[in-house]
Amino acid sequence: MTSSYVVLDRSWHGYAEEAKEYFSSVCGLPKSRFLIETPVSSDLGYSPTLHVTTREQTLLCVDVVSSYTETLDTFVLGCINSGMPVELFLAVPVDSPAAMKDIRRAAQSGIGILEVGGSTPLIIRPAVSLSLASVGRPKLKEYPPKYRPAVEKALQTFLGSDPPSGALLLYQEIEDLIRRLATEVDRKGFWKALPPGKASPGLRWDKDPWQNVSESLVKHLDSQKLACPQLTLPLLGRVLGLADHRNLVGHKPKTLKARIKRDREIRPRFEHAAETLRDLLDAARPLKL
Amino acid sequence: MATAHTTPAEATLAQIDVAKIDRNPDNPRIHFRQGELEQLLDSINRYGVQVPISVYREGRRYVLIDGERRWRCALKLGLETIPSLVQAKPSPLENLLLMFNIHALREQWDLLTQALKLRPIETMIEVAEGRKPNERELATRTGLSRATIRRCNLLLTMPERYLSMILAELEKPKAKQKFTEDFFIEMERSLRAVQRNMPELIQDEREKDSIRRVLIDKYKTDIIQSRIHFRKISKIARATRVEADPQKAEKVLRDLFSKNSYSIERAYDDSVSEAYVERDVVTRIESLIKRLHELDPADIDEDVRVHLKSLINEAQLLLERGA
Repeated sequence: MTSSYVVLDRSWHGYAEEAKEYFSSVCGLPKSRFLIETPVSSDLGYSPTLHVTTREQTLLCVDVVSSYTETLDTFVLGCINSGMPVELFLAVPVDSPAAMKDIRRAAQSGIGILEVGGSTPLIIRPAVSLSLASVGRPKLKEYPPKYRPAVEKALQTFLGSDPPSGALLLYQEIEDLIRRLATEVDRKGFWKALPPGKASPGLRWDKDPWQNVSESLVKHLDSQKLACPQLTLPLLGRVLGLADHRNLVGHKPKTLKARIKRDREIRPRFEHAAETLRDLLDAARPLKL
Repeated sequence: MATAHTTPAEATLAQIDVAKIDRNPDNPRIHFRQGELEQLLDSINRYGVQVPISVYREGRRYVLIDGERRWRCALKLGLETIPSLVQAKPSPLENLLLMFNIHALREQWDLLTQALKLRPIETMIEVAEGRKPNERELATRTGLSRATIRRCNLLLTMPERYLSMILAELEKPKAKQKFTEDFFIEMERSLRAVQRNMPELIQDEREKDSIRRVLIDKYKTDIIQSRIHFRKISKIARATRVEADPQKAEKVLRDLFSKNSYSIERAYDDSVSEAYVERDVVTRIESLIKRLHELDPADIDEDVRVHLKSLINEAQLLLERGA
C-alpha cells in the first residue's frame, strides 16, 4: 500500500487504492500514472484524491469521500467554467453515511459514483465530462414520440464517452428528414425558380451530398404550395449551416488543449442541432413524413 | 504542563506557504473522521482558515504542532498560504508531551499509538530526572488518565507480533477492523485473571502464547463471537468466589484452551453459569430485604402491597416446588 496520501485519512487509503486498481484496469493505464492528491490544473486548486489523463485526453478524477460537499460544487463549477474535460467520480465506501440525496445531487452535477469497500468496486452512476455537462438538454416532450429514443440516445452518447458521435446521431436524423422532404417536394413538383424547361432540380435525393440537397431546397422550394408555413427559408438556411459542423465532428483530439477546444466547440453545435431537428420536425408535421 | 515551551505571547503570526509545512513526526498516527474533515473542508472553502495553526521552524521548513486538519484541508483546496503561529522549536521530550496534550486527548489517538509513544517519554523522563516516572506522574505529564496508561501498559506486555497485528488492522477502515486493541485488552485481562486464580493452567509465557493463538483462531472463525465474552473466562477462573466447583471450572478452561470448537459461552454454561445466576438472585434478595427493613409500614401504598403479596406467592411456589 502506498503512503503518498497526506490529506486522506489513513483508514481510507484502502478505498483509494481500490478505486485506483479499478480505473487502472478499466482505462488500461498503469497505476503509476495516477497522481495522488495533486491539483488538476493551476487554475483549479482543488486536489482530488487521484487523477489521471486518459488516452482520450479526459482528466479522470476520483475523490474518496463520505458524502457530497459544497466544496465539490465549487470544483465542478470551476471545471465547467474553465472547460476542463474532467470526469469526476466520488468513491464512496459501501458503509458510509452518503445518502441517496448525495447521489442525486452528484448525478445532477454530472459526477459519477463508484462504490468501494464491498466485494468488488461498483459503478453506481457514470460520470459526465464536466466540459460538456452544462450542455442544454433537449426537452423530449418537444419531439414527436417516434424521434424521442433517437434524441435521448444522442444526448446520452454525447454526455458519455463520445460527444462527436452524439452530435452525429442528431445530424443523421436531420439529414434523413431533409432527404425525405426533398423527395416529397419533388414528387409533388412544388419547386420554383427552376431554369426554363426544367421541372426538377434533378438531384438523386437519397444519394447526392446532403449539402447539395439542402441547397436545392433553399433555392427552389415553393413553400406556399407546400402549405407548411413554418418551413421557412431561415430554417432551411440553418440546416444548410449544419453541413459544415458535421464534417468537423470526427477528429479525435490528441492533446488536452485540443480536447478543451473540441469540447468548447461541440457543446453549442449539439444544442444547435437538437433545436434545428425539433424545429424542422415541427415545421414538416403537415407533410406526415 | 511542566515544559519550557514558547507561550502564545512569544509566538509570531505569519502567513506560511502550505507546501513548506511538514507533519510532526511524533504525531504519526492520527485518525480523523472523514465526515468531520469534509465539514471542515466546506467551512474553509467558504470562510478561509479562521484560526491559525501552530508550527515551529526546522531549517527552511516548518513542522506542525497543532492544526493538522486545517493544514490538510488547505492542501486539498490548493491554498497557497495558511495563517500560522510560529513557536520556538521544542525539545524532543517537550514535543512528545505537546503531541500528547494537544492531539492524543483531543483527536483520539489509537491506544496502541499512545502506548508506543509512552515508552520514549518514560525513557526521556528517566534520563532527565534520574528515575522512572510512576503511573500517576506519567498521567499528569501526558494528560492521559491512569486507566488509559494501565491499558497501554497491558498492550505493551504482549509479544511484538501482536502489536504488528494491531497496527496492520488499524490500516483498515474502522468497520472492517476485527483484531483491535480492545480485543487484545479483553483477552489479556482474562488470561491475567486465569493466571491469578488458576496459576497451574498458565505456567509460563510460552503456554500463555499458545493459548493466545487458540483464542485468536476461535475469534477469527467466530467460535468466539464477541470480545466481551472474554469476561466470562475471568468469571470461570474465579469460580470459587461463587462457590462453583473449581475442578469443573479448571476442566472447561483446559478444554477451552485446547479444543478448537469449544466456545467461551459453552464453557461458561458448563461450569459457573448457574452459580453466578444464583449469586445474582441472592444479592438482589439481600438488597431487597435491606430496603424493606427501611420502610415504615404506614407508608406502604396499595401498589407496593400488591407487589409484595405477589413476591410472597412466587417465593412460596418456588420453595414448594423445590421441596
